[in-house]
Amino acid sequence: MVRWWYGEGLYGQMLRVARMLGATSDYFSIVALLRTLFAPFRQISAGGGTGPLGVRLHAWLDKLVSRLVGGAIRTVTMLVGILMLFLTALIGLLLLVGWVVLPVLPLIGAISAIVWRV
Amino acid sequence: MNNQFNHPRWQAARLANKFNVPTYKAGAIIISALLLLAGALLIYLHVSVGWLVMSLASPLVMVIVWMQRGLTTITVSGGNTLPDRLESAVLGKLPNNPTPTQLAEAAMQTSSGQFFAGRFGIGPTFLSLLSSEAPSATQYVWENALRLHGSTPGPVSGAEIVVALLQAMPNNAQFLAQLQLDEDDVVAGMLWHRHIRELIDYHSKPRRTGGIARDWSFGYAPLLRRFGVNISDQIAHGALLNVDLESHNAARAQIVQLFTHSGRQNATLVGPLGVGKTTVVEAFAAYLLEAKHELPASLRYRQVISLDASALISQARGRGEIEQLMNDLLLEAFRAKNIILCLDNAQLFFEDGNGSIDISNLLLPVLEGGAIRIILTMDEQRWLQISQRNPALATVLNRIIIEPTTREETMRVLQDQLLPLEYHNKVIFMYQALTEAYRLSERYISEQAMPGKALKLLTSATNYADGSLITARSVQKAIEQTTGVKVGTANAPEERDRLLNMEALIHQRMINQTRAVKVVSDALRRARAGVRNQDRPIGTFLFMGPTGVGKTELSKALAEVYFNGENNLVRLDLNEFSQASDVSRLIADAATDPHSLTAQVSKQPFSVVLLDEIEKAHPNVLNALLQLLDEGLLRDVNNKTVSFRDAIIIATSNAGADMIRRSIDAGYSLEQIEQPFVNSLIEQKLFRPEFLNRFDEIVMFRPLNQPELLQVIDLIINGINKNLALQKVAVSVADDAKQLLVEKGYDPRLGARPMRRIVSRSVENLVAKQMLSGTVQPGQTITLTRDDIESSLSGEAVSAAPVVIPPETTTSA
Repeated sequence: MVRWWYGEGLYGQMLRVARMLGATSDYFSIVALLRTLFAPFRQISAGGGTGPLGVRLHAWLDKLVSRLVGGAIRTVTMLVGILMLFLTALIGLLLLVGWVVLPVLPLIGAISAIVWRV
Repeated sequence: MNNQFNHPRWQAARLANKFNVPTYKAGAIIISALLLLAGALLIYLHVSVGWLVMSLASPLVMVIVWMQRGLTTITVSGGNTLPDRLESAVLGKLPNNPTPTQLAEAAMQTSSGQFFAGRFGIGPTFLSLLSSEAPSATQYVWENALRLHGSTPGPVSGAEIVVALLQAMPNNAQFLAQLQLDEDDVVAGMLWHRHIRELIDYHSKPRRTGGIARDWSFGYAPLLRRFGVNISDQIAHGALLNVDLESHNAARAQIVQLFTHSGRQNATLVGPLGVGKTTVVEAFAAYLLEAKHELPASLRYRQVISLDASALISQARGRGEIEQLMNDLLLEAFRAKNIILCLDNAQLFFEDGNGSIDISNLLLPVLEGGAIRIILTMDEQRWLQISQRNPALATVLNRIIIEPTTREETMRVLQDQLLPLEYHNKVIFMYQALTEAYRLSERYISEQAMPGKALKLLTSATNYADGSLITARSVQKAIEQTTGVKVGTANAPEERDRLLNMEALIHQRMINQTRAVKVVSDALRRARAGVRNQDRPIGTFLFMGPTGVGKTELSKALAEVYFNGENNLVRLDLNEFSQASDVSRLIADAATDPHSLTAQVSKQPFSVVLLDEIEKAHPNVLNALLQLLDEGLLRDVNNKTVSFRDAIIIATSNAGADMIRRSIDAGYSLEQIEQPFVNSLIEQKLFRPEFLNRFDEIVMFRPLNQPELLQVIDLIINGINKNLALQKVAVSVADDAKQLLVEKGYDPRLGARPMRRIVSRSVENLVAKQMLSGTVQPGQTITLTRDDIESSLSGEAVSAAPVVIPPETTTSA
């Protein structure tokens, strides 16, 4: 069992942590958010600017607002995503450390019992 | 297998087998929880040993995790021995140095064994009893299993062991045949089992489909969501189960290529109904959703929305509104930038009719421009019609032909699709049901292509489940109910008796012609016993002989005896097909002419097809019949194949009747004149040799002699008595009166046929008059003498009433 724990078991646990990180990253679409940071949000007011200069200018301004709104929403989402990614990484690290330490916990427990008694 | 019992994998598998039970797991969880609680309580009470107590829970937690992860799937070792590679669920149940029987018992206790028991009917007793008891034979089985496993990753499964055991059995073919299986079937079952495991693995892994911000750069499409069906959404929510087929993958790759290169951004999937055009669209939509696939950014996560023509038409009044609505939908798709439109049954958008409207003027510029990606699906016939009617439209469409699936592919589709079918209908399909669904749908369902028709048949078979199990018989019942075709083998005792006594049954209504009756009866027995070429009609016979000797009567008798009624007789007088142009009438579409040969047989494939007076048909008509006689197939005017493989084809001809009569009168037997007769037909150019060669048998009918004609009279009188039975009256004709009827009714040129008229004129007239005059009462028998008949035929009034016999002295005719 101990051989499995520090061999295949540990490797499996590392894969689980990697999958958790991947799933979090996918859920917050971090890569897509970065790539489309200033794309018009939901294509609202993203129509073409053909026609007289005034119309084109109006369309350009509308599009600019849409891009800025999109940029703001994406930035916030990205920040939340990065924070969640960081938390996930932290939980993953704790899980891995816990995995490594678990077999020696009785020893630590025994030492603690003696130390605290003293 | 000696000295390997202590192999680490074997030991671990035994442990898993012993301890991987819910009670042990629950016990470990409860004890560790109690230790944690007790430890925490002690620490709370400032008793330092609490730390030790708490930490003692950790070995138990390790055991639980190890049991769940490490022991459930023990990874394979490097070697090729049984303990290195065998699935742990089987390995853990094996003793040291196992025999094939023990291997069989262990495998049958696992899910793999249960799979074979449920799907194939190969139960644990069957496998264990027939496996070898010799431990030395295990190595052979194992090597076989390794060969079957090939390069597949993971351990050798119980399913592979089951197949290896079956292959190692002597006379396995004989045992499998009892279950209507062969070795290829069990190998196919093993692959099916492997595929199910792969599917479970695939669906248990998390899918990467883009996350919450995936569609933020794309527009909203409320109108499209209202009038269309978002296939991508359905796939993301797991509503559609996708089938991974090579042929579909090729079509999907073609669509990807069309949409990633410059040019017209459309793909038109053309193929017959049921071929899987919609499934290809679904496979394409699923492919775009998977982050792991290598796709250009312009296609990744694009949404496929299918538009429903009938929903559009029902929502809009008139062409103007529909065009406006379609325009809005196209604009929305264009603005959203992530929509791929799918026009399922696209012909509905290109023709005016019920539930369809021609908006090609609107769609043509869109398809030409290529600003919106569009997938269209339509069947071949509609594609040809559209190409003919609107060549400009056909030019802009990129056609992708979807071919019907092969047998192997169809079986894979069925295996995948039956999982939701089983879940919804609470049934289990046996493998034999799948093969039967393929075989029968291929043969009897012509309006759809594979795999759709096999799936349709399998779906209808759920109504005929035998104790929630769907067997080959359930599928047979389903097709028998939907098409009226009788497909089961002759199992019922009464049917077996009927087949074995067919000659006697036919002779109840037919006099002599023993050779013809025997030839035909033999053919039918071969067919019902399954001993015949399945790719030809049941039998093809050319009946030659003078008129009125029983050719048509034998055809009717066959329909009655074999197909349970004269209604199963499709009769065509080929003297009505004497012009070259009559070929189209022969193979007319059922909608145009329900009485054409193809129309009648497609409705009633299990029939006697009687082609009367074949010598009078035009040579082109005979040419059209060549394929029918050879392969049992005939294409109608719409190129739809109609199967004649469950029909008995009988052609009759009077050609050369005089020669037969002269030869018989000269004292020759039928066997003696058979070959010269056929030669003379060819020499006289009445039939071409290749046409005559297509028949299984050329059966000659000889003219009837006097004693036989008397028997014919008896049959006719029996028929009259059957009709009179309703009035509880019978008629009896004296022997000398019968002789008179033969003398008056027999015509050497017309055979026995005029006798029926003579009997009608005399016997039936006399009986009718008696009944109307009230001289005969229910229960009485009218006896007719020679004088009665004579006077009746000479046109004299019946002066003296025929003798009426009271019931107690009745003698039947």
